[in-house]
Amino acid sequence: MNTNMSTDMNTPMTNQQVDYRTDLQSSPQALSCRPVKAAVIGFLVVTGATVAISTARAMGFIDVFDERRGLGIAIGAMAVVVGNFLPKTRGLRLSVAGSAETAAAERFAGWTLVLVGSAFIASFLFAPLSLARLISATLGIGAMLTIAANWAWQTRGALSHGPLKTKAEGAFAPTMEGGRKRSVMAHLLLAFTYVFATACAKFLLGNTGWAGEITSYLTMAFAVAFVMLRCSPAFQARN
Amino acid sequence: MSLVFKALSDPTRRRVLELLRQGPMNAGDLADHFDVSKSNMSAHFAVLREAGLVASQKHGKSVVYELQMSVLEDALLSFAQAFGWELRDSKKVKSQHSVREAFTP
Repeated sequence: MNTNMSTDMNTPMTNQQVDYRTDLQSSPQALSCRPVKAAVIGFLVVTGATVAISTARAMGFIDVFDERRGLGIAIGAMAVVVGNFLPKTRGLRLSVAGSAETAAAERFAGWTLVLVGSAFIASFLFAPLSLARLISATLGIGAMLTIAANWAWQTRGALSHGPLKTKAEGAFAPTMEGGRKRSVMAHLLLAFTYVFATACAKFLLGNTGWAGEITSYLTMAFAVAFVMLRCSPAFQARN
Repeated sequence: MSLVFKALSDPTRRRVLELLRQGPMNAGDLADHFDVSKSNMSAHFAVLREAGLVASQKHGKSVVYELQMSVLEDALLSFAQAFGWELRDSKKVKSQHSVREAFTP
């Protein structure tokens, strides 16, 4: 900004002569690492809080009901943190093409996670525990299915690496630095989705035999998803 | 956060963010939507970039901007749009007060 202002004051410039490239001289990075760091720190703080709650229960400072409420609130906070930073960090972006559609899908996912996370927190704070578990599980599973369906619909053309719609889209081709940041966010998203899906299954099914089986399947499914993420062409291109 | 409030307080910058919701755009294409000098537009882009609301990338001879807003910033933008939130120039407000006082009997 200063560069532009000083240029404006020292040399008279017509509208055609203004070069927008001077904008980049003060900060050349395309994707700032600040939001990625903030998302990771937020996620780790909430994870630390869940460990603290479980430790407090094990040491007898709180009872089992308080522990369950605390964990529900922490998972809601996790959804709010991840959802808030998702559109800023572009974690769901797989290719250059269709970046407007992917951005719309990320905005939708972000808003949905923030609203569902807030509903999680409110229900575990104010509703009876059995009702809070039912509400949060239903909302959580519904949100994950809606986000997945919306993302698949919005990015259906972009996933096949189709032609760029506008020249401007090509400017945001994955760079080495931007790719690393997005891959951190992709791993964070995978970890969050695993925690969130397992928690929703547990909230819905309680401690029945079904819950144990489903969480085992979820663990296997996410292990496979992790391997697929590491081996995917989009991930290779980022790194 | 104050940088974000500053960036969102200007209607031109809010309109730029609205335009970028449709997808990445060249600086020149964005500037065509406004009736202000290109050097002024350049300053607006710099404020938005410093606040971290847009990402910029060189593409050939031009610069391409892309939206980079969190949900909270998106909510603040909608709030600012809905209520016509503008940053007041304190000097202007003071001079308006003094003019009013001068004409009050």
